[in-house]
Amino acid sequence: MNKKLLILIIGGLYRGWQTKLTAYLESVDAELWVGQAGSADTTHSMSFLPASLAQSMSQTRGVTGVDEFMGRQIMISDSANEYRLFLVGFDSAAGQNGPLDMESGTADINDGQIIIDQALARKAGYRLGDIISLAGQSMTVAGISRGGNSLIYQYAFVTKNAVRKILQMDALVNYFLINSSDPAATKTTLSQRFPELNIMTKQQFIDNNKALVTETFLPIVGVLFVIAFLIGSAIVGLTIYTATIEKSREYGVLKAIGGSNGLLYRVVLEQSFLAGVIGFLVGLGLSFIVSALANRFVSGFITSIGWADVGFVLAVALVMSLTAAWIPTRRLAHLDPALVFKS
Amino acid sequence: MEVLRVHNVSKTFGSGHTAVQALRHVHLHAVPGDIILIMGPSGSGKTTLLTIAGGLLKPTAGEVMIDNQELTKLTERELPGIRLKSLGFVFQSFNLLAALTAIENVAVPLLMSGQAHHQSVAAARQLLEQLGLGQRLYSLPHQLSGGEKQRVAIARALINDPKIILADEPTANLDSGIGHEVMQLLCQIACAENRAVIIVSHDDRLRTVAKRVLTIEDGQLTKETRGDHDQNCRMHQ
Repeated sequence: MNKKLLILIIGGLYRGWQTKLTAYLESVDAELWVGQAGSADTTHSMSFLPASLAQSMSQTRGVTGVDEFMGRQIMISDSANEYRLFLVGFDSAAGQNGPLDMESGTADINDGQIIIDQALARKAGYRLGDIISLAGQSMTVAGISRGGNSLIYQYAFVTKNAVRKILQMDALVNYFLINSSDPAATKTTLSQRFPELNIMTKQQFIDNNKALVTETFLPIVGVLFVIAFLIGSAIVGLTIYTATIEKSREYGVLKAIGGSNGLLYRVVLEQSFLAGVIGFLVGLGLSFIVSALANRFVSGFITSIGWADVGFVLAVALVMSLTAAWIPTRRLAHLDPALVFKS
Repeated sequence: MEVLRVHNVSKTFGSGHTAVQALRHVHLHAVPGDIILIMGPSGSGKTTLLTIAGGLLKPTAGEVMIDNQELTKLTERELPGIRLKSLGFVFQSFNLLAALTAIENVAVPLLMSGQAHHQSVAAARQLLEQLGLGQRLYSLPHQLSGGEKQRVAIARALINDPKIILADEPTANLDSGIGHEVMQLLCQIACAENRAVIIVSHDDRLRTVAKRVLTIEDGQLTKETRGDHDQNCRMHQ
């Protein structure tokens, strides 16, 4: 049961990191992301572009909309700790490119207010009304959002005016967000017209941002998953084997009174199957509880357990159980029923 | 008509210098209604004879016929069927399945025979009630006394209506009062239900219910005497 829990949680962690870390970027309304050459993601390198480029971009064939994206990593600190934020300026009146979901407070903020992610709020103990100092600017926490935890940093949102002041971006933007009726053709056109810029499709930009996690951490999680599976199989196998050996006298009785080897196999397989299903159900319940608790108390523990994962782990549990029953059944085949006459 | 015939059976364990001859040219037959007590010291071959007669062990030489079927010629796949249909086993240590209730333990052979669950349970209930265990149907083995356990074990041996009951030290773990009840039950199984009962035991009290008493020494049946069945069986009183 605990192995199924471990597999489900590791699988959930794998899936969570794979899908949730870039959830905010996926929500941003843009077909194309335009950044400075050499800047492909929001983590490794910063992109600065002159805001004036917006006009010439909007005149490019195929472009239906150009928006500015201002946001980058920034450190904040309290008396004991430092925290890494990804501060985004958004149009709070239109709500465009703002937080994914609100846990509390408001998303309609003014220039002196900030929305922080629940992961940061829990980690740092911030509550609505608290004051956070950002590059010398005091910002009041007006909202706490969900879905903006990106493992390395948490997204925080201020108005565009505020972000210009905090990040000193008077005539600069970090990215342009382009909308187009034909993104592929527009990408080609923009690349030809602005060869010094990095034009990325939304998916490319998301993949670039995921790469840090998918290439660094996910292989480790994958190995942990395989190890959990192997250890799980070994433990389930040992448990079923021990249970069968412990009951070998009773299996001997069944054999003595006329039970065939086929019947004994069926009994062991049924027991193993039942143990697998019960272990799975208990493990599933505990996985959701442990996962929810871990999400709450460990900021980098981002899990996503879907029906496909549940189905996969159920299949794994059944394969483990049936595999585990194989060795004991071989032993039962050679069980001497005459042992029941020994007291 | 013989229901069991052991003809010239020998059994040797091991080989070469370490070979141990457990049985030597043993002959035994049983007819319906027989109660045969096989007595002998430890290591004399009593249990080996019982396991061979029960098709649980193959003899090195000789023949075992049960219900006109030669056991030594049957395959490992065919033997369980004979044990299930024609033989009932009663063990010294009861050997009830610990996780099953009394009624479930008794129903097991019927379920193994392919009978429906409700029919098996109904038959088990009826038999247990006949044996005075109507109040203990749903007790687990650890909740039963020694005598009750042995009666459940006897019910399990009888449920498939076998022609032969093989009992290994059936009174060994029971006090004298309960042992007497079990002896009377075995008597009834043979006389009223016309089955052959073969008992191996050290317990001299079992002479009182046996029709024939065979003595086994060093793997050979050395003596046959009449038991005191006729004077003691309630069926004759």
